Amino acid sequence: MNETHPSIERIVDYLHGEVSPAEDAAIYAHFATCPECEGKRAEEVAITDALRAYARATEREMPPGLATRIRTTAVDRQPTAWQRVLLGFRPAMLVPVAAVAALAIYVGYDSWHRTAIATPIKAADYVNNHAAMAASAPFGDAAPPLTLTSDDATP
Amino acid sequence: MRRLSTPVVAVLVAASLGFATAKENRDPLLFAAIVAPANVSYAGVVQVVHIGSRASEADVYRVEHRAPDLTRRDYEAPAALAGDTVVSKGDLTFSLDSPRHRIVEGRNDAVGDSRVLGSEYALLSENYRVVRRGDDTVAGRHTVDLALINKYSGRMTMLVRVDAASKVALDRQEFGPSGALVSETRFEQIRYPAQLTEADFSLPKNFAVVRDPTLAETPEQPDAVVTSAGFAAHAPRELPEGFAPVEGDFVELHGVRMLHLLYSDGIRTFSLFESSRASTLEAATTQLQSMRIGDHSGEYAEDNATGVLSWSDGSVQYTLVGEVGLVDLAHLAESITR
Repeated sequence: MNETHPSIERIVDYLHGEVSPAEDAAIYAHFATCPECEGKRAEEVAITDALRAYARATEREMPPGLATRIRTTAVDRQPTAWQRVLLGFRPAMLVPVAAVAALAIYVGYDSWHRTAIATPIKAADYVNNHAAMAASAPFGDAAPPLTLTSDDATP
Repeated sequence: MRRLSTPVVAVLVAASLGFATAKENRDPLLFAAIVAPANVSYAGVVQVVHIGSRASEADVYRVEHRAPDLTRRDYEAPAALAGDTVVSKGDLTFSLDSPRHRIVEGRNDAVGDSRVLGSEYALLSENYRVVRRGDDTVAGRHTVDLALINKYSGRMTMLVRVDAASKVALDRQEFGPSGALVSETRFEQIRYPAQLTEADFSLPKNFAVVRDPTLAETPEQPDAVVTSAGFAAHAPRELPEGFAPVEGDFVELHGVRMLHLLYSDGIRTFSLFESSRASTLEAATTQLQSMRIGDHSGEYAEDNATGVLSWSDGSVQYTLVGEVGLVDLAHLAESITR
């Protein structure tokens, strides 16, 4: 609402009782002193009355027995197995199923990817392990100092 | 290459030949040299050289050994090992990791267990003939030289210079299939102190002790390890002449658990590593060489003059390691993959 005149939206809200009590009182007081806004209020009231009158004039009674026939038809027409399958492809079903599938594929791929990644191993690590075990041979070399290969991963 | 007629030749060698048979075939001086560390204490400086087809490497360490099974090695070279210390006590080995202020505890496979020594010596006696090659001098000590001649190739595989008095092997030279020298372990200095105290083998008390994750797993017969691998592991169908499976266990490299089988002919050895997880080979000092293993592609590298050949058949990753030469490694690889 600007300082002097309420907007047309606020006038509509006022007519539907959707403004605060303080604003309601202020708008009501304003209508008493502002013919321009009072005119807009009267137009809105007239439009609302016209719409209600038209709705009442065009209102039709539901034919007798229609609701019963609809219910009966719905019960008789159970979907076939194929129709049930197709029902699964409704967006309401398909979207969450696709989301779950995508998550499963991601997790599965990630798991597979981790195992499929080849771990780099230094030739020296093989040689040191070979030398350590071969030290038992009658003239085997002394085993080299033992290191933990997991240390290579720590900074 | 010899086709294996029985699944476990190690059992055949260790059980049917055994220590008793080895005793009958033993060369007294060679056997005395093999068991000398169990009887003789010594201190000195050792130089180890490995000569590869692409690069050579050398280690130098000071050693103090108190019979029967206390050994301390302080590395002086190469730079990567300088300052490192390894202390072996019985069947355990302690590697001092000074930068991390800790001690890595592992299994000492070099311990002179009489059962292992017996089967290993039996294997050596089966495959090698001992020939005296005169006298020499090493580190100022008078030595008797023994040539170990491979019974299948007729070639000298190792020359051992044995201290005539103490029977300690002061120099060992190993030769490849072509006759070229491939490695040498030689005492540059040696003395036989009357006493080495326990303090010489003490470990720093303010270091944390970290256990090798596979320490609890005791070495087993190779067949038992293959059966319990948890995946379709394969042993080679054919082995180079005189070789037999001697030991197996599980190791963990960079989080990858692997089956590890060791094969030996008494002097030369090679290892087969198998894993159900894929891995790639990285070489620090040499370039990787691509190879074909049957229908599969593999990679070959050398480290410390030792060949490493790795490939996958799609379900198992195989890696062969040894000084037996690229030709034999490739034949072994094909016999596994077939």
